[in-house]
Amino acid sequence: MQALGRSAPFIVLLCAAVYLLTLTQRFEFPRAPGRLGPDVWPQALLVLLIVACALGIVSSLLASRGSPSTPSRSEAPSAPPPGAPSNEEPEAPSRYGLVAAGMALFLAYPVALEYLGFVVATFLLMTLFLLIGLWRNLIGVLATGAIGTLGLFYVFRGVVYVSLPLGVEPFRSATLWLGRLLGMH
Amino acid sequence: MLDVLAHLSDGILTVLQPVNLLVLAVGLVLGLLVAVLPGLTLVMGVVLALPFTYKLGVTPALILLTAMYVTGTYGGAFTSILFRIPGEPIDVPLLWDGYRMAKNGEPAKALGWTLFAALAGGLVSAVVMVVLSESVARFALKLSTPEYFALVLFGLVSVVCLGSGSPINAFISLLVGLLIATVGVDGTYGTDRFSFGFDTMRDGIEYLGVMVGAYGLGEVLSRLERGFSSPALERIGRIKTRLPAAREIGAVKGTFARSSLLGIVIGVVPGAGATIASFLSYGLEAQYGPRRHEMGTGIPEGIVAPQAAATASVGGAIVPLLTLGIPGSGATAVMLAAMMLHGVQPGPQVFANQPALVYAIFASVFLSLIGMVLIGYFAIKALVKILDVREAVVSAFVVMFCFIGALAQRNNLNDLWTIVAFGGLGYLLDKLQFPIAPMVLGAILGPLAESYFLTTMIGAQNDWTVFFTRPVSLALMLLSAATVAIPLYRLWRH
Repeated sequence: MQALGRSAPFIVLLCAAVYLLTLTQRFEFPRAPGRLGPDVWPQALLVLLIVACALGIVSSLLASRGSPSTPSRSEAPSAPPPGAPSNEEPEAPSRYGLVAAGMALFLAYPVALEYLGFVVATFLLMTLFLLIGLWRNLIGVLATGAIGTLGLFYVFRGVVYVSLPLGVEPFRSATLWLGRLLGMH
Repeated sequence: MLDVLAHLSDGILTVLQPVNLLVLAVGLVLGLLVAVLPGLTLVMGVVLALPFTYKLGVTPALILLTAMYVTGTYGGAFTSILFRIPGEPIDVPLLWDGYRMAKNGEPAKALGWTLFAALAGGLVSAVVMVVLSESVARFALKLSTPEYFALVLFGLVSVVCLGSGSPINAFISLLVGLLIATVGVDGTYGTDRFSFGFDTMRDGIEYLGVMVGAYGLGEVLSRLERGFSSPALERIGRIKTRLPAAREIGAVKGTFARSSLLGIVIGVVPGAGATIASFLSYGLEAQYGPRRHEMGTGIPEGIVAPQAAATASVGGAIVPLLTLGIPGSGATAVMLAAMMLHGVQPGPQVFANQPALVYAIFASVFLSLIGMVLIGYFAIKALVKILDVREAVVSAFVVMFCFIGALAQRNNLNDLWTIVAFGGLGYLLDKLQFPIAPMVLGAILGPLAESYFLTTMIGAQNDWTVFFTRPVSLALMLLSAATVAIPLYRLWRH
């Protein structure tokens, strides 16, 4: 079971690579004998990916048989000397709910930006993100969200001249009004 | 040589113009802040600065990024030595002797050694960078597509094999990056590849989105998983930086020379960067240095070795970027993106077409080192106050910079979906112990690799031996093969 878990990413990638390899057969281009087409490069990459995934599966199966755990990615490339102080802090537990909530916020932001405009969407994103980030001081969260949003709006629209989305009415008018209030024309 | 000095003087005058000088100062402070904050890596900081460069000219844009890059290799030393918080992965080796020296009651001396090592290593590599670049560029002009393909291949395999984790995972990450670069309508035949009927994907996936998403949002998600739990800080107190005396410097000249040289070489190798230089230099000193048995007890050699190598890697990494158009590190990959966004294609031709820009970059390395020393000596304590800001607040701004950066490039909301997707992918890759750097480098260098490969093959009537019949190409191919074979052999033995 542990071996299957370790191999899972490689198996998923292997399946994806095989599927993409079949797609390369359907690329439409004028085929000429002896001439390399636009399918050659992706095909070469996909074949290598399949080989690498197969190697990954084999190595994770062997690792499961051998040692109980693989070395962590965060491990230093060279180990500290024997006399050195350890820099290992007790790691906080994983909270996947926070990650899911953060990802949901990121996914919602482009949609909110289109309809609510930069100011409202950014204020919502920042305040909700701070709350998800376990900051429980509501006044601090709202103040940071408001100041941050206005600061970013002023810098990027007024100074760097980035065309930030205005949203639909009435958010559009509100954003333009706020811009005028901050001296942007 | 006189030509080079004249160009360099012009470059210094360019950087000393008021706007450029202001940009340099901003870059120095931003680089130090990024290095101090454990939640922000140097590469991520440089990525986040990219949107601010869109409206700048190409010269101030590159001055900003160069200044950030130089100081980013130094700032984290302060927090490593005083608080045992490495602001950057580069600074981890400083925990072993730097922190120990501080604990032994000599924090000011430890900070002084770091500052000296960063300045001296940086200056040596900057001189080498200036001297070496013209010759490499002249040599590069004689190369053709087989050599360029072999060179890109070497860069790609280096990033796979020099990493710390599993080479198989790194190779897969690289291949995913190269495949990302194939998405969209192919430039030669107009063939639609892997767009799955989405118009947005027909335009291809911008590597900027891959980079900003994976490094920026991905890292934020990884830290969010731990609930933004930064360790609490101790009081700084009245600590100052005390530079080492000439006699003390003389005693570590061997370590300094070895580390600086190693840093430059590691910097030149495409794909390797300051972190690898820092760890490798410490490792070499711990294995072969004259005081190897005392490493880890708080000796100057343990500070000089990683810090000098890390800062020396900057000059080294700029050489392949400017002369060959191949980034030597993550930060130079962002500089490559900035140059391309401003319509400048780095490579040997840039020395002939835009010498003013090239030498302004060189000059900004020298001036950044001087600025770094001044800020490091007089003002670093004030900058460290940034650590009082909640990690959630810093991360909220990082997220916003990622979104605005993606939006500002083409004013296209679809680009935001790209960074969200790659943010999720970056988080997953990190979670599954697949390194992100090879994927990003693959996405950047993929189109170049494909173009060089196809051009060579068409020119040689599909005879693949062309890569092995030309001396430079053969040497690079053998080097690539050795770079792959050694870790694979180690893995097999393991």
